[in-house]
Amino acid sequence: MRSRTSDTSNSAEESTQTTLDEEKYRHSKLKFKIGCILLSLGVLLTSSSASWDITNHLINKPETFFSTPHLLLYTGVVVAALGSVIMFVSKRSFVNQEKFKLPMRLVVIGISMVVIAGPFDYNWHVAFGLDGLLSPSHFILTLGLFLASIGALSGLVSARDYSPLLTTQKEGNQIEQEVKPKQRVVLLGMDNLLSVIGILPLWITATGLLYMFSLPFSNTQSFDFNPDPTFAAIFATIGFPLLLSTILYLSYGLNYRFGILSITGVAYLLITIFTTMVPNEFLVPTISFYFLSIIPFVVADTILSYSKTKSLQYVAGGVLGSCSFMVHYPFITYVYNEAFTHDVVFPSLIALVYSELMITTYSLLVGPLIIAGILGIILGRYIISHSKILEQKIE
Amino acid sequence: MMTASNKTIIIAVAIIASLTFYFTLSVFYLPDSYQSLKTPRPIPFLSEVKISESMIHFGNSFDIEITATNTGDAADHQIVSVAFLNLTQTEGFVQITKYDFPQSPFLIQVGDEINYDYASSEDTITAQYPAIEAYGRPWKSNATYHLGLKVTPEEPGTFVFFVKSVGLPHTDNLSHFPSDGLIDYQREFVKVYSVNVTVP
Repeated sequence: MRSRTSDTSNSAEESTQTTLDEEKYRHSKLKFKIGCILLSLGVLLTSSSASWDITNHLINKPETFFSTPHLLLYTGVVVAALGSVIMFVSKRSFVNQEKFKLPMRLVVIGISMVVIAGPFDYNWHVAFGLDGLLSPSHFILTLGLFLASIGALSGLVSARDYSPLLTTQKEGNQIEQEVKPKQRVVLLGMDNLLSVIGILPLWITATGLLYMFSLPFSNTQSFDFNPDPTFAAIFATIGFPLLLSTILYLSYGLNYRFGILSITGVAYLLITIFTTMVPNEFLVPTISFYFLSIIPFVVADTILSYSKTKSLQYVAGGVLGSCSFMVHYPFITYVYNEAFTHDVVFPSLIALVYSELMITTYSLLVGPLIIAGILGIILGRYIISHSKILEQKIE
Repeated sequence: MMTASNKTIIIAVAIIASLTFYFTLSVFYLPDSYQSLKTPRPIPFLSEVKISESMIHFGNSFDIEITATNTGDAADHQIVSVAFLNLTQTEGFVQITKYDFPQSPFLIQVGDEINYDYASSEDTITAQYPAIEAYGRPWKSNATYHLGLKVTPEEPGTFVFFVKSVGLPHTDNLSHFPSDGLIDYQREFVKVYSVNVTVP
């Protein structure tokens, strides 16, 4: 029969062990989060630099590989790769590894594709000369960045503050944990902001994928990968508002707090301004117009935050869809110009051609844009409600 | 104290007002104001077209030196074109001896699809004779560049070549040089030069 003193001593040891395990868990989770942040920032830098590079090619037709956008693009790849390594190393220490498997798989697949795309792109250049926006290597690179950004975002969400109840360590070193029943999400400022950092690269890389199949920038000496203009216009009319609405709904749905959707939208607008408008002096006067798109973002944010009814959420989706034509300025000009006006779009005439398109075609497009925006809300709701990583909510 | 329904009404009114403001501005007012934005007006000018010889023996070469400038607004794209009616190709017959344009020259061969009518549309036309296009993209206002060529005629006779410069966007009649004269197959004005190539 054990003495009381012996029982008390064992209990103290177990308590110390539990405290050490929790400490180790928190430390690993912090490292994992840092990895996710670095990966997200790396992808964000790469995809933003790619947008700048497109603008640079339109304006300056650079003839050297060594340009500032290229330098930043590859810096982003290095940062993303570093982040993925940190994620992988820290994940091994987690008590519950199940919920981090999907994020890690996506990151590994995504980064592998990015790494493979590098030499593939070089060899493509050697064999076929300068490539356009859409090429096999560019597609693999962008898809890899897209998958990696999903992995980083889901990693950030999975690593949100969570308090496992560790039961005492039983014989055989088996540690069990109990999960508290699902609770209403309590908002933590840092996690909200981190979700913005996680969502932005996902948004920009997905936009890049859509641009590949809609912009007429893929006709080169060796291949013509330009999409058919009618297909491109239909694809853009459905794809861009759907993406915009889904992404912004996700930014809201991951936080359930007013302001995050607006912040995410503003960040996207700022990135577009700095990568596509500031480098082109003729677009600088249109920046204030472009920034007006913060209005529908705040409106959608308000509707989603203050009303939980489905119909009003769909209204928010319609608002977001209807402003898609404005949010994707200036590149959207090239898409619809191919299908409708056939003007030669010089960099100094983008605003003029865009305004002609707005006058002649927006009334035709607004209906489908609204519908696609509503579909984006439906898709966003589906993703939120069926996402396993969101099953364990914040305390 | 504000009730929940009052708050809802205020929010709804604010939403409707802000969306009305946004779409009125974006769909009606701003497009009209952008139509009146100043369109850049590049004015290409060839201040010098120097030909070293007016007569050469067959088998010899002569030099062309061109000084080009833009005396108007910055051009998105400005071209200096030298086209050779009596050559079948530029390789082996035309050598670039001086070139300080921002971009590498564009060589046009017979059969290539090229723009015409000052790139007024995206349509193209088939090149009838070879040409060299030196260009700046962009070409800033008052920037000057130089092109030097050594040409070896392919056969004796009158060796004819055309020179022109085009600024894009092509805003008006001053966006091309020369502004009148002979019109080539691209429906663009050209200055005509010739060198007599005699049999030794």
